Amino acid sequence: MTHGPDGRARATILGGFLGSGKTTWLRHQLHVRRFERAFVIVNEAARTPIDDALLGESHRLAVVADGCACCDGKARLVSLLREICDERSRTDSRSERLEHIVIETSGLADPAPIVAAIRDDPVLVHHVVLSEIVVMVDAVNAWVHLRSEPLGRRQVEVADRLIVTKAEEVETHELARLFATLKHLNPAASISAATWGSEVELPPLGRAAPEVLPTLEGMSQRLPLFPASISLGPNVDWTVFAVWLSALLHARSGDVMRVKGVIRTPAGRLLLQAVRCVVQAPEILPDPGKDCDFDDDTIVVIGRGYREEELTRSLEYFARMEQGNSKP
Amino acid sequence: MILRRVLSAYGLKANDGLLVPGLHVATLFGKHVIVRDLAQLWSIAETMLGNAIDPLDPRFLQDGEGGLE
Repeated sequence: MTHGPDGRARATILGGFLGSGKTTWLRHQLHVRRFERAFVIVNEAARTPIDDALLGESHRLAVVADGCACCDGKARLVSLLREICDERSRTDSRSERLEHIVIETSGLADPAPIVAAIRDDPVLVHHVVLSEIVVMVDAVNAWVHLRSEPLGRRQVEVADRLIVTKAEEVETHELARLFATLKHLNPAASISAATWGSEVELPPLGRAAPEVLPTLEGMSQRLPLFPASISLGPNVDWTVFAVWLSALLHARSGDVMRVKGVIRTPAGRLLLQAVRCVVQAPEILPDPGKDCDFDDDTIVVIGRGYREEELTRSLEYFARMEQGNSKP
Repeated sequence: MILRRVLSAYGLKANDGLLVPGLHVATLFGKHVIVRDLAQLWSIAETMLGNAIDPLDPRFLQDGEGGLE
């Protein structure tokens, strides 16, 4: 069973620059049945869709063409997702109900606004939950995008998983530098390599220094992202945390890239996720599970522009305010 | 409640809406707005104050019992 414990369909967002190998990877994943009972949505910024011809086969597929799903094509993506959810709710969960939605974004898409579109839609928020943001990075052409395109960097920064393609086409030292640079840009993401969609073992890459990327207009790139792990003490309850986090995401929307973690609340264990300043409707998890990546009451905040201990201090301060220890 | 304390640190007053659902936020000068959720609250507060309320502001990083004015 791949749907969330609360019954929502899981969405995987597949991103990466134009020509980075998204369709090849996805086609292979579908072939090896990594996404069972999946509906695939392919978004093309161009008027003529070509990727769906490659994906074909027997999977359920729809194309949102002529408009990138993070901007011009957003309304069409939302209405398509609504149709999918509507049909899904009329299907018995024990039968062949669709449980996964894979959105292959156009190379020009920023995954964050797509996550926001799902969260902000009054229907979709109850039917779809983000599973993972997978971003493809083409080893041959990645440097151009990383050095000069704010979008290329944003795609890398919001990823949960980075998959390097065409690794066999570059020298080992070059690949080592790319891995180090990606790790520097997004220390929390897992990084692997794939050829024709299947994961490949790489030769030992050795140590390499990340490339110092130029500052791009509109991006505070001089500071690297870092993951900060915050343990919620017994005095931090759900209300305090919700107030604190919502204020943080509003005030630091340019700095905080991702928030992930599991919090115990009176309603149960909640899996909390935010992509930039967009918080997903939390997912209720079963009791302490075997297959959970997160410790309870620990939140990882990936961002820049502050010190790790400031997050903890500030949250503690909020908790003391709630307890009335500070002057009102 | 926590929200009332955070907002009062910036001279804003918050109350549960008496006649309508939502939270009633007002400045000391009587300007007021009803907000429906936290995200909207912080954005309205920023408009009212001219700056965002930042939990990493030094006033929220102190030790001890806190010294909110």
